[in-house]
Amino acid sequence: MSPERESQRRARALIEALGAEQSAWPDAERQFILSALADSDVLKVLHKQEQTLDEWLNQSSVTANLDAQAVARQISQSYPQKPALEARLGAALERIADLFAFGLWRSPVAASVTLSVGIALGTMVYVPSEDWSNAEQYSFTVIGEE
Amino acid sequence: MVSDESELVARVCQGDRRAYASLVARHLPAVEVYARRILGDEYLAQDVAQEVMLVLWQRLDRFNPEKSRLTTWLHRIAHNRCIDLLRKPGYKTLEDAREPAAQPPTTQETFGAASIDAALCELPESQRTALVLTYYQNFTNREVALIMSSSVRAVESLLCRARGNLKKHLETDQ
Repeated sequence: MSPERESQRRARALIEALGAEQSAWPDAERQFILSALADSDVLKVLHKQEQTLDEWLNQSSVTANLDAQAVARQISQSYPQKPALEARLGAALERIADLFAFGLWRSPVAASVTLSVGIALGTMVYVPSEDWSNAEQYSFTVIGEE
Repeated sequence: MVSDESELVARVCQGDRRAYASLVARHLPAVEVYARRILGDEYLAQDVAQEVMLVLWQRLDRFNPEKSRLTTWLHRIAHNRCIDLLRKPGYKTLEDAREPAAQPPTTQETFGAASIDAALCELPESQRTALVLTYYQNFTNREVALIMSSSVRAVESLLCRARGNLKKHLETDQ
């Protein structure tokens, strides 16, 4: 790929990822994106589309509702700065409970149940084709004959 | 401001409540808004934000200023907590649980804030996280990669796909 096409491709990737606003582009690549933009009509069209999307994204109006002072006061007065051992153990148990809640336990349990059923069925149903119950006696017989 | 913040961090580690209140005032709104955009639920987002502030109080000694900014560290904790919640079986936001509106949306609603927030919630979790952290929280791609435990290239790719999906959504609406 020629250096010119490579730089066009990189400029396109950055505009598609970061949008049309120049301040969102990395400082080190801003100038290079601007020159690529000036040289390409395709990039200009893309830039316009991203501008429309940016305007739409800017309409989002999620605001913070918590009272920071109240939260800080409540936490710093209600909790010790170093959590007690039981709190740390509680947190560890909570994490383990979360693991179970995610269903990670299902695969090992399913494998164990399948294996146990297999062993049980094998023990009950399978009949050996040869009777080896006298094997020890047989071996003594062979040795005795020698 | 940065050196001011490192001084506040040092004071909080020594149990200074006023320094802690300053850090909370500085970082709580951003963390709450981030969690709200990721979870799509105001009350869960407030729970997450308060949990993060509790970590700020109890575990600040684990923060390494040489590795990242304090806001990056806090967003990483918030991100992990949000992921835990989103991946819980049967996770449903209060917005999801609400009855559908009796009236069709007005033109203003279709192209307005409610529409963009709904479109964000429809994005896959990783695309939404990358877009919110970059576009609304103003983190660099490198910081986003750190928060998401990913690579810069992967973040760029997520952003491209997220914006592509939103453009399709916008075209469909129009």
